[in-house]
Amino acid sequence: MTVPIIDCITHISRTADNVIGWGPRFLAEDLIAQMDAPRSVLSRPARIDRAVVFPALGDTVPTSTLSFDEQHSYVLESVRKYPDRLIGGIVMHARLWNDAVHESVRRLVHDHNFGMLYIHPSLHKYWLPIQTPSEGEGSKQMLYPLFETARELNIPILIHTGEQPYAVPATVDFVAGEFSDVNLIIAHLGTQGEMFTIEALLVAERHENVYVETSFAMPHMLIEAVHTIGPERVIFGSNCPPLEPTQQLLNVEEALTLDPPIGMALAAEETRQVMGGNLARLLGI
Amino acid sequence: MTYAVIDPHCHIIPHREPVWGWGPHFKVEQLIAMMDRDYEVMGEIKHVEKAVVMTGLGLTSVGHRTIAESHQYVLESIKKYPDRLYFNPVINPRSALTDQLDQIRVWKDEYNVCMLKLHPSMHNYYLPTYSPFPGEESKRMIYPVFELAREFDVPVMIHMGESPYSIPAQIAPVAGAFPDVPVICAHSGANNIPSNALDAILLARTHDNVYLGTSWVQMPELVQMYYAIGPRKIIYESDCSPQAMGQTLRMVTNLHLPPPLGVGAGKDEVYHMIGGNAARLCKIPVES
Repeated sequence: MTVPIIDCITHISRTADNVIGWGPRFLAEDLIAQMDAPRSVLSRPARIDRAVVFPALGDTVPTSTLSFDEQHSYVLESVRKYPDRLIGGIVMHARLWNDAVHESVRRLVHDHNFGMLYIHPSLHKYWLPIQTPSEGEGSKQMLYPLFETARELNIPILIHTGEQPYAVPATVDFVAGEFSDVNLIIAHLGTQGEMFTIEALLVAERHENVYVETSFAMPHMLIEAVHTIGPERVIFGSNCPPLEPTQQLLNVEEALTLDPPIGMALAAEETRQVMGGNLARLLGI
Repeated sequence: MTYAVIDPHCHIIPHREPVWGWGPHFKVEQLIAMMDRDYEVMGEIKHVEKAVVMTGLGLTSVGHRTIAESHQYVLESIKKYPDRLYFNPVINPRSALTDQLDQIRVWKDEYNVCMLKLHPSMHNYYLPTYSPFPGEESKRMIYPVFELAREFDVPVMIHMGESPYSIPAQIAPVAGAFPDVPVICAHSGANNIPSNALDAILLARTHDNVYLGTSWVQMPELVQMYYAIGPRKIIYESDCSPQAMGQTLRMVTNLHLPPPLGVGAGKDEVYHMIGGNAARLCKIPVES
């Protein structure tokens, strides 16, 4: 049986995301069209079988007037419409957390097959828990209920990384140790406005429960990732929109499968695991 | 209008690169094979028709080679593929500068010299600064290179992408001093700090002679670039090796897609970016 291609991070919205900066909209049907766009992957025609889909991040910022349920209503509707293609993703603004939100998260996971939490320290303005009590204690109080819920529901947490001051991947280290039974995915391999890939890999090397996601990753750093932690903990994501899935798949394929110095001549079977097998395992698909 | 794909930023070396370390080699035959792979460009299968090649940068930095020694393999390769390959000699301005420039004059026509390359990070210098130290020394090193580019009527490609020597804003003084010499800001400064591309965009907006290269750039910054400076100042480049041509080319051609994945750029605009601009600036002949 062919290993499916699964995209770890996509977004949909009926309106523009004027915080992140894309628009005018990206509907579930636009995403499905991208997943089904003609492309060749590892020398064969290939669609993206499934995608984890999150709401537009801009809807979740601290100044948003939308409730947690409103932030996720379009994703919920779309996941119900395309249950075989879309896996719901929860963008969890930790400052919104309360008992009602906790219950909503449980309901999304139990009743609607949502499969991942996404936290975004930059957008939501906090440091991940660190040793210094003055910052660390507040952060623990805010975030530990989320991590405990991920443990309870057995779903991974995707953590945005890639810029100062909040989204530096080295800050994942502490919480990865505290919640060693919760799977954490460092998004973008630590690369957005700045490149913190080596730091992301240091954390992943120290913690078996830490994975890295490939959108925005520099190709030579994808190679470094596989050499550092093996292909088993590297997970394809497109971050579509604004990135295009075929280009992001090509980035992974060229970096991993071409001969050195362009790539690392990784076998097609192992590359397939990066493109979907690893995430399927993590999500219990 | 030409519908050719030209890659103006490639490196070849017959052994391991001595500074960056990539290897075991990237020979000219590997480059030609990479150029001849199938690339989907707006629904059509295309190949990279021509490439501008540089030597492995480390050869110009360590080992005390003359410019002829550090470029020997590139010269042989261009002789072998004169219709496919063009030459961008890498100048280390800290080492026998006059000899290097004289040698490049000798090579000019025989070896398709179409650009000159500076790499402030590799060779440890600041581009000319507003302050006298190190500005005056830097002018002594860099102005002769720009004067040669003016004499040849070719652009100067300058590596950009990390502190302390390769921050895009550092190009401003020399770009202002030589407004008639085109400058290609390689990687748009994004090589190791992707958000540097935003500074490069400001530089290109404020200097008519500054063009921006796309290797290592991320799509959100490329979209900004399109709206800020237009498709005639954006130049596709792969930086192969070590980067592959496929995903780097795909990113630029994705500007053809409607928002939010692209900007809805027209076919001709895309071909300016992936070939026409480089052909025009570097005077690379392509069939219409």
